[in-house]
Amino acid sequence: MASDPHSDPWQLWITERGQSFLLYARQQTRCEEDACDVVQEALTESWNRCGGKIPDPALVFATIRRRAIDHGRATDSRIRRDAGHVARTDSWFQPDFSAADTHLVVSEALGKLPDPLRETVTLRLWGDLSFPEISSITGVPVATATSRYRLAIERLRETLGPCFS
Amino acid sequence: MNDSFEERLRALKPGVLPEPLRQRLSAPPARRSSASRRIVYAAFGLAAAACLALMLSRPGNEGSLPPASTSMPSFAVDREQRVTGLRSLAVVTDESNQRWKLVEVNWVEEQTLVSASQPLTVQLQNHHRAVVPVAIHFD
Repeated sequence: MASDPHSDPWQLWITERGQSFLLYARQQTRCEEDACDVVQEALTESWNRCGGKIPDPALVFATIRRRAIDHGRATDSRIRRDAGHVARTDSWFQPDFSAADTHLVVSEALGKLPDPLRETVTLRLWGDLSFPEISSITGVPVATATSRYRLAIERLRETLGPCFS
Repeated sequence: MNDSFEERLRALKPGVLPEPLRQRLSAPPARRSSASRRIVYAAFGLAAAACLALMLSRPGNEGSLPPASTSMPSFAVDREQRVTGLRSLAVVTDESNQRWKLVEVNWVEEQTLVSASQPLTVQLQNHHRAVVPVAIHFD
């Protein structure tokens, strides 16, 4: 069934939030195929849990996280995940066509952050979640989520400062 | 309070959805129907049958324990198989218009050896994956 992306609430929602879901999934899985599978499965599960209505983004992020862990276990990639392995980073952001290739530099800097810091800063900046929501997803106190975010920003500022100045 | 650095980071747009994923997300997910639940149950049954067939088709010596002797330690052996994941891949129609759903089935075989004399347990896990056709029947 063809649908007008400008009037269909589902399409509007996917257009608005799909990229941030995929960005998070890419960081949580070991390859692009896993990331796409996890996003689709998480959206389907969240949609069904909400009785066929647009789900809350925090629920989708939480479902992506759980499903990515399940994928990692199923494919025996958990060891690599725990060792800080993340998928290739060159597709994390859209090209900005700046001379400094900012999107690549930021992706690389993000990829070098420890998992908890990268996850927190991604959910906050590109997932647009509140600290209580991030706290609920990552299973840490709100104060910890806040301090992780601050630490991540400071580390990124140290790395990216010259690029951004 | 966000500073300009954070705003510059936030201004970066996440990478676009690949076209195959966009196609897969072109419509809201279908609500799970009772028919689809029956398919899942049938798939579980087929997966169990596949596991059994796999076990029976294996050469007799493979994976078996060495013969017991008086010098060998005594172990209790437990074997278990369980389905760990199901994923719908496609729906196809055969010549007789029977529709089939191709389901990817993941299952794990666990073999556990428990020493009779010492607090020792050894567990071996073998992960398997197969594509199983499941007939779709409509009421």
